[in-house]
Amino acid sequence: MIFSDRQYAVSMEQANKLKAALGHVHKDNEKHERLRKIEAKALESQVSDIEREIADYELLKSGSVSFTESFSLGDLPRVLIQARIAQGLSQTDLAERLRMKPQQVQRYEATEYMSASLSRIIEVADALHVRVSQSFSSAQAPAENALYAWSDAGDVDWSRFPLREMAKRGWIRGANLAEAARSYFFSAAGPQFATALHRKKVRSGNAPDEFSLLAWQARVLEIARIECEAKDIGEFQLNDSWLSELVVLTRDHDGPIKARECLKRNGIVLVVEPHLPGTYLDGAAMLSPAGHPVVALTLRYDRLDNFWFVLFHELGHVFLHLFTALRLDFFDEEDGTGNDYVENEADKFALDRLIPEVLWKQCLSRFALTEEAILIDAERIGVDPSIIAGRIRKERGNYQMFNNLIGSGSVRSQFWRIENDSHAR
Amino acid sequence: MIVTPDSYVPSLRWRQGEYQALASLSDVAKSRVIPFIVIPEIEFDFEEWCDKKTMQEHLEPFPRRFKDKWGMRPAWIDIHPKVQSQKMDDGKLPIAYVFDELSVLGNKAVPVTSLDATAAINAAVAKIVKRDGRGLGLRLRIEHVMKPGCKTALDALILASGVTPDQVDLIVDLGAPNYQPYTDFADALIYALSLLGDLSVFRSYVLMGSAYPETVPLDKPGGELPRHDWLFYKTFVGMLGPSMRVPNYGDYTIVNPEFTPKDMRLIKAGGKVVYTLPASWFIRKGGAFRDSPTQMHDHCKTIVSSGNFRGASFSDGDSYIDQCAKHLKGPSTLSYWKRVAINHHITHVLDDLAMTALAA
Repeated sequence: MIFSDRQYAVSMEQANKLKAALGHVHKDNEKHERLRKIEAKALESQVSDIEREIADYELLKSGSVSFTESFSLGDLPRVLIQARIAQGLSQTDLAERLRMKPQQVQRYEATEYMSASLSRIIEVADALHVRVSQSFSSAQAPAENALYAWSDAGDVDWSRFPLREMAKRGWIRGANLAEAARSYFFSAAGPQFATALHRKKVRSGNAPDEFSLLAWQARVLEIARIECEAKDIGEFQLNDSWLSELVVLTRDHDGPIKARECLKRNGIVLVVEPHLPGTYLDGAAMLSPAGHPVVALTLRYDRLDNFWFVLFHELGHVFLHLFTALRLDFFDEEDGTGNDYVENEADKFALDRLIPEVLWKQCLSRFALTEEAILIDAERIGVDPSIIAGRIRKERGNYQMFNNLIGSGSVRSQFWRIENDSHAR
Repeated sequence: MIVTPDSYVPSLRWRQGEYQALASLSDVAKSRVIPFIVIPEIEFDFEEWCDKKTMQEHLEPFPRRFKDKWGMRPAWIDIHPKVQSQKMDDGKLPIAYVFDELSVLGNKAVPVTSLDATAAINAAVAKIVKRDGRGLGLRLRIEHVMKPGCKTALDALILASGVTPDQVDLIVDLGAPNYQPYTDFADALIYALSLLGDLSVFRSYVLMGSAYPETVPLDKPGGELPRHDWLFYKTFVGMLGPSMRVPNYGDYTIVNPEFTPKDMRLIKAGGKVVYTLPASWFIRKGGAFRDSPTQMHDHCKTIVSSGNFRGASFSDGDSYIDQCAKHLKGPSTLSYWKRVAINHHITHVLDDLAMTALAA
């Protein structure tokens, strides 16, 4: 790829030399015809490559390329380089804009940003006004581990939100739902939502509807804000030693609802909000505008094993990732594949906190594969049998096993019951 | 009961194909085999929708047949949990009936009980143990081993049976678990067994299990299935500490422990030959046996020409496979093919154990 005008000039000169050489080969009658053909073909290939790079650079420089489209995370390094050139910026210009040395930008581009941190890449994307996202307009687009980051509220097309569903749930009302949505977002999530809050890392096997994700997040933050304003929430500390209390609750019949109280005491808001159409969300971890960690669950699967795993996975994000320099929110869909380091860390956090590795290794129920064995191991470890049953199902890739032990139909009712009770009061 | 390090413990349901396979072993093979016999549940009559026989009718042939097929050789005899608490015509428990009859005919069998057994069964077993003086077999399921109170329960049962551990044969029956990953399973099992204390105090100690599936997941014309139980056993033994006792190997031959007779009016059983190899079962499958019994000639030909055939003289089962491949023997019956396969399997395992002992 050509990165600069200087390289462009060198490439032009090289292309001309190669073309001259090619002309010479064609005229060289002294060489055997077969050899001449091989040599010519090699030169033609080189000329073709250089001309394509020159054409790309000229196209970018012409200013006719728009970067309003979405790109997958994998394409981002290439897009950032192209965006710089298209905006008429040299590597030095970009470096100045980012307040760094030109050599640093050269290094980033030469390694296709492999040497840059995620926070640095987001900064470059912001500087170049590149909106990083999976292509939510295409269901075929690979969505695995997408990173969403909008830089400006002005980019938001309010009519694309799930307005009807939002109205149906009572979040917005009025004749102009798009305008109502805009007001709702600003009141629910605060004026900076587009820049600060909409930096999402989405673990997904699908191509989620980005607008539905954002609408759901706004609702979650609205509920979290109300919870925080009630002022009886504990102080959050980056110390997970109290999670053993939560593990004990897995054995309690009302464990999920009691978990909400336990989290509250420790400064974390647990919000339960069903997912919106177009998303397959299980849960998310984010920071509220007041600075409290918020764990949000959709209860898409009404099963105990799923509830506890997703809860602990999101707590993994809270303790491991939410307060790092990336300042991302974490949105998890169950079908996401296991190639992402951050998600794998959160998975491991959940597995190890629910059942420490040394105890899991001693679990013979993993091999006996009987309900009786699971009940014995659950008693020994001190967790609900659904935790073990769910983990074995996942480990074996067999979701038909132990249907009696996974606590089907016993989670949603706990939260809906409490909400109904509070409405009645 | 003398169990030597190279003894093999096949767990057999005592159905026709199984006891015939046992009876047709060579004398050399018989001397190294100690069968763990489980008298099966009563066959169900799907037409009449009731058991085909009473417990009396079900058990009556057993003592004489056991004597005829196995003579005075050692064995453990257990009764399937589904029928062990039923009563004979005179009100006796099945285990009491079997050993009372055998004591008249003469035998060297040892009765088996477990932590699942009722107090009445344990009392009946204790009585047999006291009368015959041949000790006690104790079958521990994997779930028993997992329970924190297993050692206490085991000690109490041994005490109540009127014996000391050196008169007890401990049979750890894994059933049909998922064996993989072998090392993880072995780690967990070794840990659980270590909580039972010093296993060398027992007269003998057997680790038994099965990897043969309930339904063979192979399409026609068949293929290979790993013998996870045997491969696991080798891993398990290799991971034992220097002071830990090495158990004898036991398996369910080529029968899944959950095997139950089905309504044969609804089933067209396929022609099948199972041939045991060092690390797998080589299985040949065809269409419905009743529609085309002659398919068995081709199955046998495939085995004989596979490069894995041990030769006609290896076992009685191999001899039949060889002759059937040459059309010198007929396709027989499905029960007979079970006999052929189990006879070969037992002989093969004895060879496996001998080879392993040599390698060690």
